[in-house]
Amino acid sequence: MDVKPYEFMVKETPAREWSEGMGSLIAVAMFLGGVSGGLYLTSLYFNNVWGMFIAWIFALGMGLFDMAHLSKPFRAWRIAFRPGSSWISRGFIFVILFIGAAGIQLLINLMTGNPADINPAEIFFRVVAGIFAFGVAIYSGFVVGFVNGVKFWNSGIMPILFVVAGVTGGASVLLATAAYTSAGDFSTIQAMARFMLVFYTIVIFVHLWIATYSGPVARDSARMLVKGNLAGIFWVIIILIGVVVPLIFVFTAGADSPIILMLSAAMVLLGNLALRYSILRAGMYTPLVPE
Amino acid sequence: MVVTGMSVKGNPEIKEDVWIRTTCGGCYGTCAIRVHRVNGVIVKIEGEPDNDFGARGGLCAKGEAMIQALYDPNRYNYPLRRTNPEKGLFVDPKWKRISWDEALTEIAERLKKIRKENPNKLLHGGTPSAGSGPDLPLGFGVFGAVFGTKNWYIGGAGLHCGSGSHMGAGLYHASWSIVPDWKYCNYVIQMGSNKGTASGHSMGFNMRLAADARARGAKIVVFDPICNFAGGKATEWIPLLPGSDGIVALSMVNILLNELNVYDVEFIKKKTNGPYLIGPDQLYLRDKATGKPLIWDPVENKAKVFNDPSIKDFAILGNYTVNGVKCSPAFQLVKDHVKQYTPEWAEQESTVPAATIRRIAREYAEAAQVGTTIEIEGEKFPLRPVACIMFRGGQGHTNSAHSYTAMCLLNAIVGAMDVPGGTLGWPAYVGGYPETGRFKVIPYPDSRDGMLTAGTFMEHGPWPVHEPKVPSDMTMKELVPTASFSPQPVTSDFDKYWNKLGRPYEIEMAMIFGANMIRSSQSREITAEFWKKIPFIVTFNILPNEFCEGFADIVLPDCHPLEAYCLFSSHGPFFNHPIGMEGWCFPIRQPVVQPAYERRNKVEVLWELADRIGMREEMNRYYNVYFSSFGGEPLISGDINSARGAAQIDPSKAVTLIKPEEKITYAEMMDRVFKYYFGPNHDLKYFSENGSLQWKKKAKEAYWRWHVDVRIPIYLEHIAEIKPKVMEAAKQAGVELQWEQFTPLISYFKPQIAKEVNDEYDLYSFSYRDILHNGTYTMEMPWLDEVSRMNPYTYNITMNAETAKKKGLKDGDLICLESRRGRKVTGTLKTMQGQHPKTVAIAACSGAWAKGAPIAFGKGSNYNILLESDFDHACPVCWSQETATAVKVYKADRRYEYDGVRR
Amino acid sequence: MRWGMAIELKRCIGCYACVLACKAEHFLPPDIFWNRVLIGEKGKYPTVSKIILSVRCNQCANPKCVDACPTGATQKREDGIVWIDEDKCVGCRYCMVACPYQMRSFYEHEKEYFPGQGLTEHEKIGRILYPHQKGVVQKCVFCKERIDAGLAKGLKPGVDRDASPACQIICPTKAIHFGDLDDPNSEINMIIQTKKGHQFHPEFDTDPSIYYID
Repeated sequence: MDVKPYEFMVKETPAREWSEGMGSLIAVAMFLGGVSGGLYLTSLYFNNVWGMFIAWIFALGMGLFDMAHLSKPFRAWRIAFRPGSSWISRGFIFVILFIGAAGIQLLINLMTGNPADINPAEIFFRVVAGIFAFGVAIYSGFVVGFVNGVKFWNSGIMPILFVVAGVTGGASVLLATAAYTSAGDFSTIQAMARFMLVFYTIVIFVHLWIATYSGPVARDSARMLVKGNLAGIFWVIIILIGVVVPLIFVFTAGADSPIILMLSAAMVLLGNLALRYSILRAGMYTPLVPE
Repeated sequence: MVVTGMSVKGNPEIKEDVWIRTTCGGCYGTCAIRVHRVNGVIVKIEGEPDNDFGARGGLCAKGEAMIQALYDPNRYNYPLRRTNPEKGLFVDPKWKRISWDEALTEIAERLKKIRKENPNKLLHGGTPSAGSGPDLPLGFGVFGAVFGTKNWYIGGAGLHCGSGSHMGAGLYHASWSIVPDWKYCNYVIQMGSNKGTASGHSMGFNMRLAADARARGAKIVVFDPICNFAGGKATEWIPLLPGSDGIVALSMVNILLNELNVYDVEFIKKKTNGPYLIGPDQLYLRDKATGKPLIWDPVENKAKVFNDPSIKDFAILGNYTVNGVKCSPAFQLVKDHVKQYTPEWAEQESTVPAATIRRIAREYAEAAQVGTTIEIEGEKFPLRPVACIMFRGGQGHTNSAHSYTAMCLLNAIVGAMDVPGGTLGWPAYVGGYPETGRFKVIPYPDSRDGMLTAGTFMEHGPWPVHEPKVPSDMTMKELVPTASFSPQPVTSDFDKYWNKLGRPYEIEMAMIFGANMIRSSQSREITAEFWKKIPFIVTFNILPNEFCEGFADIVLPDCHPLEAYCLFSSHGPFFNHPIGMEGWCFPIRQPVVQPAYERRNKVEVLWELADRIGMREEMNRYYNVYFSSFGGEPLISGDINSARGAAQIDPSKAVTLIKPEEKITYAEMMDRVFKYYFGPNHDLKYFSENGSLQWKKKAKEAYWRWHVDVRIPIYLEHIAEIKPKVMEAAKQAGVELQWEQFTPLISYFKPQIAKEVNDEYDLYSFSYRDILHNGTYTMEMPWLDEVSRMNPYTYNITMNAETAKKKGLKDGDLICLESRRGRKVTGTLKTMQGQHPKTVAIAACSGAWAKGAPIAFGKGSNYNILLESDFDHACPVCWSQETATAVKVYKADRRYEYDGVRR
Repeated sequence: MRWGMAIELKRCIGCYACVLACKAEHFLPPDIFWNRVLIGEKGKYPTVSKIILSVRCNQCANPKCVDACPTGATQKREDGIVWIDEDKCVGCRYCMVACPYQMRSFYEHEKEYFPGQGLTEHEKIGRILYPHQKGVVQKCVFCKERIDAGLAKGLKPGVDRDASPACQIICPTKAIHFGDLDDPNSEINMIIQTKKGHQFHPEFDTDPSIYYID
């Protein structure tokens, strides 16, 4: 969307800082965080250590991309200082603590040889990591939702959308992992993955629907996604590749098709990333000049 | 260390922290400023707070941006010689650096030769860009007058202001232009004028006072095809077609005189030629003995000379017979004549609804409060809190003279001229500095007809009216004495006339300062043809421009206003001094930093040239006369070469400030002049420290109209007088003008633009001033360029939104404007609600292509490319240019006017 | 003490002096603006009026940016001025995203005002007098250096030029007023009351310190 310099805050103005250049790396970080948290939680539920490990890697990746989007990454330690008011501060703490707790948990698991009777210490760290995993998955939704200047973002459904997206991504990765490792509860995971994909799609459209009732600027943002210049990304990548095709796979492919399921998971992840990115791209500020 | 008055981070080493007072060079308003110099570098510019000559501490963006012009790495720093013999719009001059001595030696040689053969072979001129204005009279004006050339060409022939404005303001206010008395005015009508919001005279005091007027609730009605500057601050914006302002004004005059019967009888009787008796030949009835115009005394029932002390009353209506000749007072003729200008006809020409015209006329008449008075400083003055003003836009058409005088008529009939609340000319009456009585300018009545005559040099007399002559110089102004700035010889029809006159001589050399003759003049193609033919062109410039690069043979590096001394802030108080009860101020311009590299003050360069050609003595004598003319007794009035009632100035009347043989510096001259005007204590040192000398203005200076026994012509008898002689002289030159406009009755004539618009070329295109820009150099200043790009209109072409939609055009499209002669200009479209549907507009004078101005390159559009330059497109009476042109608009695939530009 | 501004829209002519005075005062880099002039239109032809808004950071009493900032670089002083400690900023730009007025700028690349032609003397001295750290966010700070230095010398911000914001003192139409909103007798409060000033977009719930007068 090409806003001329003289239209800045005179017409609806796109949020640029996190959708262009180095700043847009935050979309990757949010995506990785969401999937990391979602994957860890679902892995916890199904006691799938590989899933937990992959989630932990994703979290490291998130940390890396978060640092990359900063212009002063060596000062990043300061981000821990405002959890009282800043969602990024809180999220930073969640990520650090998650990586720490999950790391220790995985280490214990490795050292104890992944027994059926889980070591109590490991249980403790699983719980701690699980709590922070939830934080990691949901906090970026609050980061975006906090911005009351962008009506498209400023609703209670934003954190829900982000955490649901994360869990959906996580579930898809878990499904592929389960197929690879021949996990016993594959069919349950499969059911969960199917459910999440559908629920995720519903939440996306609920969010868009709410946006059309949140003022003309939010409505235009929604329009941008559905029939405007982001429609390509929305319909092809987020919906078709990110949901529809994976749904078909998840309904047809079984535990014996790990490759297809891996492909499906990759597509879900791509759609997930595209979702974060296009939500950031579609966000617009209400003009300061009256119409 | 605590540093006040500037934002500082940390603890930097500050070795120098001074504020120097001087005048701004952002435009030719020359507001008083203070400039902050830290460690030898200029860091900030602000308005001078305790000074009425400006915005009392405020300053517009152009002034702040001067810092970047001063330090622009693209500036000319050394004399340059063109080594590429080819000249043209896009030609690379292939500059070679030369020494000052080499440059001046060659220039002096050529000047000497020309002066011996025929000084008219030198064409000189320029425009006050980059604040060069103050050097116009003192530098080039004097140099040319003494050298003996009559070929003086202002870039664009008043294209950027208006010969109608200057002629009219000279005629009615002994001034350069007019402004409402913002302090007391309640009802302002602006017709094609951006006073207070933009204007080349961005003029701090205008911005300040107009804002005060708006804040206290004055009603401001703006007639303008676009709602941008003046329109944007109007209480009521009324769109109209370009060139139709005159008939709107005349229909309002009609309503006041013939429907509402509201007019200031006293003013008409005593301050205009309304009572002068007009005979069947359209001329004054004159007393046989004295040759002075006659009036009718209705009390004693006889005709008398207009200034006869025995007059009991003046008749302004009726028909009389004097010595068998049927006659009427001029006012009767005017009153009858305007009856034809009905609001309905005005609506037809302008698209302003007749009901609106009637309403505005009624509101104006009521607001005028004819007959009321106000007490200021214990003295009673007539109070007429209405003002109608016009500048470039309203009169920039082939009906210029009549449009402007029609608007002046609206002021005159209610007596709202140079009285509290009314229309004020820039100061025409300066009582003099109280301690010395000098620096005095007093208007006076001309000796024959009692008409208002300026008490100082002015381009725009015309009293006494010169005899029309067959032109002997290339400006051809002798042909029409009412002409202000002439487009000749830079036109497409000049050769026709010069051939008919036998081509008495050719221009061999041109000396131009500060101007961009190519971009700020009408039609660069016609202009280029002219300049190409001149064998040797010398320019004095600060920054590179299209004229220097394409056509100059030698470029001399001038000083920026922040590097230079300058005596006057302008040509004189009538040019830009604060109006109304704002205080008097005589500011100094002084260098805040020394000129870097080999830049030199152009006036001192001219003096060195004068030394080399043996002209310095004459110049010194001329300066003595010039300065003495402000010394209390008007020695010179009218144009630079004229004198009051005498062909020669009596040298005994001039004070010798400079001895003939002296070769002083500019600063030295300033010191002497300051002391002469203001006393021995107020020398250069005083001015350097204090920045200016200020003194209180007396009410009778601000509102002088009823303190000087002068009249103004509501009936332009002088035009009837000169007409036959003009026609005869014109025949000899082969000149055909629109003779019907040579009528003494102020009338409406369809402007050339209205005649050229047709179904294919269906839009009236025009340009207008933008507050961010002055001339063509401001786009090179990065700060101004940045904010221009942040403005929706400055660099774009604007059209009414509906019109654009109908043509299938939308915001952001690259469009082309093409004139009937195939001239093209392109730019980015921005649609507006606030624009007349039949128009398309371009702000400022952008569209730069000079290689040496990289910031300005390609930004915005150069409107002037579309215009024509010839007598068909000039007002026949004042020679103002037609500034609007008929165009068709379509989508473009590239910027056509940049084809051929080297990048 | 709460510094605030009141801007009279009738006076403002959109001359951009405020924008350039701020750029000059703080030696702002190319393409960075701490204040802006927004131009719009109201109405339909032929009943049209021009909208001119001089805008800058509103130094909100309830600033979203301060809440958003994860490092505490953006903070609010006791006198209400919201400023940025450049050394603490990590460049996450959450504050920029969070500001509903969009009045913050990110200084990303060093640029020359005359590209390819080196730095002018003016630009060089700017890097000594008022250096800007690259990679951090910057914005209007109500000229706090002028205010603090002025108060130290006993001057009154909003009244004495040397202690007042650069944009306020440069305005040729005197459209900008500056003063203490907490002082019921201050000139700025009188102007807001008598001329019916209104906060700038109070619906953003940030309690801005800039009022506009129609």
